Amino acid sequence: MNDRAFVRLENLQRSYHEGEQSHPVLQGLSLNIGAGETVALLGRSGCGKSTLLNIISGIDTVDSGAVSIDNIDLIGLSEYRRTLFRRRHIGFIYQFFNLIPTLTAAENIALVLELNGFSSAQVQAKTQAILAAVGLGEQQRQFPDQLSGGQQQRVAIARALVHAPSLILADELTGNLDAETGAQIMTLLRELINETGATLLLVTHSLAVANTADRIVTLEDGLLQEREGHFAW
Amino acid sequence: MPGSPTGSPLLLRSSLRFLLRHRWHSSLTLIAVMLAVAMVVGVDLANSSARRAFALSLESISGTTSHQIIAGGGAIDERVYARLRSERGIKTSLPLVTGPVTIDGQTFTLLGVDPISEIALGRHSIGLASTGLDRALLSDNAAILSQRVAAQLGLQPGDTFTVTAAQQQYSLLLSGAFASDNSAATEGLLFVDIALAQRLLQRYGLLDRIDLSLSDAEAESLKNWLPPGLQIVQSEARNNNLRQMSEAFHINLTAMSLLALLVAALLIYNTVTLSVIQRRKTLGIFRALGLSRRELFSLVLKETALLAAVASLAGIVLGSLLGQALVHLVTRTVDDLYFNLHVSSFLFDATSLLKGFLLGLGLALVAAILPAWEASKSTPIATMQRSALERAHWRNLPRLGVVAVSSIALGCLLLLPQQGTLIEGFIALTFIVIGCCLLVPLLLVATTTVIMRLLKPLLSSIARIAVRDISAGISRTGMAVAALTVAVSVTVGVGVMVNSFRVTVNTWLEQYLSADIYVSSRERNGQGLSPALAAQLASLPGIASVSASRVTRVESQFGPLPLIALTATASDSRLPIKQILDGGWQRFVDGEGLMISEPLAYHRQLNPGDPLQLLTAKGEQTLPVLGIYYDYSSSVGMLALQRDRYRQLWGDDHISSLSLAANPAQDLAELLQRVKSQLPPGTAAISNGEIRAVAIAVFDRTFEITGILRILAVLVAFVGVLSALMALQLERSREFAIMRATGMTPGQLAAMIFSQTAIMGLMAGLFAIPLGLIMAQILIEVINERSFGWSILYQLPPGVLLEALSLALVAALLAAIYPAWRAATVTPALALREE
Repeated sequence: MNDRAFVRLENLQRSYHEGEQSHPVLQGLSLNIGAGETVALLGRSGCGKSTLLNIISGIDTVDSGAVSIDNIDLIGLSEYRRTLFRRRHIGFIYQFFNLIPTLTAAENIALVLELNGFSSAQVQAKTQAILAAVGLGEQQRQFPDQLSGGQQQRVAIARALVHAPSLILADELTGNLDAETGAQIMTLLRELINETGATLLLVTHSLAVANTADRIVTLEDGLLQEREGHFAW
Repeated sequence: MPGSPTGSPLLLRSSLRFLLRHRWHSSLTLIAVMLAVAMVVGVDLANSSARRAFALSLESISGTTSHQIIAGGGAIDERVYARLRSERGIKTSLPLVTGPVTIDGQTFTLLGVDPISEIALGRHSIGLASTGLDRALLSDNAAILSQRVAAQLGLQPGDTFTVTAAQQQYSLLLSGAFASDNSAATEGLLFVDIALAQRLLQRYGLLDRIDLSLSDAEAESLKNWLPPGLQIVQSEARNNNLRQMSEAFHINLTAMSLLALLVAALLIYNTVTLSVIQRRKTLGIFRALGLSRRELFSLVLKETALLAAVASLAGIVLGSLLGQALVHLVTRTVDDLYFNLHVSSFLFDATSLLKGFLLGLGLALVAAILPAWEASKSTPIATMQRSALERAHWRNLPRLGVVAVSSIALGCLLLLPQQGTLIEGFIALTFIVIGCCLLVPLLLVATTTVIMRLLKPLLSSIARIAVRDISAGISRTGMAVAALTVAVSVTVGVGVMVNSFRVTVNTWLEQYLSADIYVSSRERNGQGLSPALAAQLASLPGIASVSASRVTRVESQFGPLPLIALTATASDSRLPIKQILDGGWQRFVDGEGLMISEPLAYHRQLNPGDPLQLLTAKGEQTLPVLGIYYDYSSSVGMLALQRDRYRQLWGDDHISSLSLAANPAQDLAELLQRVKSQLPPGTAAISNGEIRAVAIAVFDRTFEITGILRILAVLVAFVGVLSALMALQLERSREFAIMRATGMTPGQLAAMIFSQTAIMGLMAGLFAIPLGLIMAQILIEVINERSFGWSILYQLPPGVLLEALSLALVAALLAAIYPAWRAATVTPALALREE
């Protein structure tokens, strides 16, 4: 095993139970991701990609196996500690944006900073800076339902990155956008991540998106397979 | 490095915006809580006003002295007072002559005081000394009043006014008006010099009471010195006895207002649950962003606290106004039921406001705990869909059933002890109500399942959706229907109780008022009628018999008690007997012992055969209790004694009323006129029918406050249920938009919404009937008995049940109007996008 791995997944087992029946999703999955690396995760619908992201972010748990991020054993942490870890170290971007409908664009971003205990001045400055970076300075007072899909995803990206987390998890972030907007969003994300040096795990259906990653892995039958070079589905 | 994570103001801002976006629901819930808090505060303020007024009244006439010398015969020879000062050297003694007088038709308590001693001892805490009481009462016919009362009567110092006392009219001079710190304490009081009071009340050479400031040891040594027929008692103990009389009435009013708060708490639960369900996705995002369960829990509680704080603040403002309106009703009822309470001024009590605010806030927080806990269990990013949430609720239903049954069982257990307290009775009632309320979701699911199984082929697809959605959305429908059930059951319970009570009293009156005409003095607590009048009326043509009775107050081992001295015969049936010793009636007719009323027997744990100590003019006497009779004229309790024996023991020949029986063929109206023509001024004659009408009018007046509180409780529920059902339907805007998009017409959609709320209303009405009847049973058998000790015959008026169903149905249908209109008129595309 690579001791310098930033994200280390070892022999993960996870099944869902429905009555008497058990549906295995992850069957001994292992993966190492280095610090600052971008990894794309491909897989068919229902293969367990989102489950894997949820496990890495501490939202979901495993039946067996080990998950460590920056040498911190996530499985050994209490639910409360895992929450605090997620709050500080992980940024999550979703296909359906998941913005808070009752907060404006700026407030959605500021919320994460406030939760992390930044001072009001810092919250203000960082929010303005990232809004400018994602090109939404003008729309900062608008509520999510007043923004287009692309704009909402920019807010979601800004929210995921504003507190400089070391790990970004993106779940189908362009899946709900047209090709052109999707490409713009990906470029924006890459630029911002290059600035912070964060590690990125990208779940996607899109080969174009996957091919922008340093590495591509596929999830099939609960196991990961490494793909060399550019990938064609 | 940033500081430690703290609660974010943005979270609360998000919550506030959510509440604002759902302003219909939020404001209706706010109004319901506000009304409930207003009710609690209003009742508490009215109660505390009446209590404080009573305490001040006691203080204003008994002052701050430690002991009182009272007489068994009602009067103390004034020479005892002189001897007390000269022989015993007790200078800290104050004589008092008191009695009722009327000014402009209003009853006042005349206080005859010795100005010099008053100033020396400072008995009254109403600042009389500072007005120059000694100078003010120097002249022969001088009287003083508080400035407030003088102003009410339109009098200025120097004016003369007419006072009616002992059926005579006198002209008095208002020599001064004093400013009182406690206007309530002095509202019904007229101060004169003691000699003038004796003259006005025709109590020459007599005192009613001597107040003393003594140590217990001094009081003890004085006991043996007192002449027979006099007794020394502690002022506080005596006042406490008086104070406790009306306590049950105050507790009942408070309990009723708290019931409204319980309904409000259910609505808070409903509102918070609904807001959690509506925001399950947002809460999931919060969790994904790193908000801990604890923080989410506290966020929901903070929101509730905010809503409840606003509602409670508004509630205490409204409650203050309500209190001012209610104080009159409360004091009037106390006056009707217990003692002369002239006071009707509103005493503003900050504690009541604080209590109301904290109760509103506290109960709202308690109600929000469960939904807040559910919110804290939110999985990040709404992995739990609504269907999963509903399934979780379904899984919880059996657990809810166990809690419900346990709560009901606990309530029943608390009701078991025969001699439990009133508060225990109300706690038991609360447990039973909460238990029944928790059963409602289960019953709702069971009923809709049965409807679907039995009537499915008969139902249209719209009706099927309407019925199925009720159980499918049980997390939202359950508590809304429960809140409506509780509110409606309150109207059923209280309605049945009041009606049963009314019928019982009416039946009792028929038996108790067996004579045809009653003659009495118009003055309450006055000297009464002369024996000569009895003889004069007995000689009138058409009169078969005349029976005299005396109603007075005597000192007993339990403090002062009302006593009726009547001329009973062996065949008399005026006292409806509940329990009696063998041969007890004959012994009563012979004057061997007492009959006691049911409330007295209950409150003092007295049974036939027990001894009762009375202070008579001949000293302390012990008489046996021969039996217990039904009596609804006094909740304090009453003693009955053969009049001859009373005259022998108290030396009081006065007559309070005369009962005249007419000859069988006699025209009663004509006889009544004949009797009236014989009466001296200040005396009234009234027929049996009229007196019963008056008694029932007093009864209805007594329950006026209960009726108002009942309406308020229904109003709270009405607004709350309106809010809950409306929110329920509005929350489904997207579903409705999909239905519209798939071809349902606006009319069909409106019909579906109306039929769904109608079914829920109908079910609430149906569930409320058994709960209301149980509540009535508890109110009659437990609460009433523990409060007043009265037996009430359970009567079930069919109108009450119909009223319950209509009330629930109307509330539900009204709640459907706006959502139906909105769902039918909104553009489906817009509704789909809004989501």
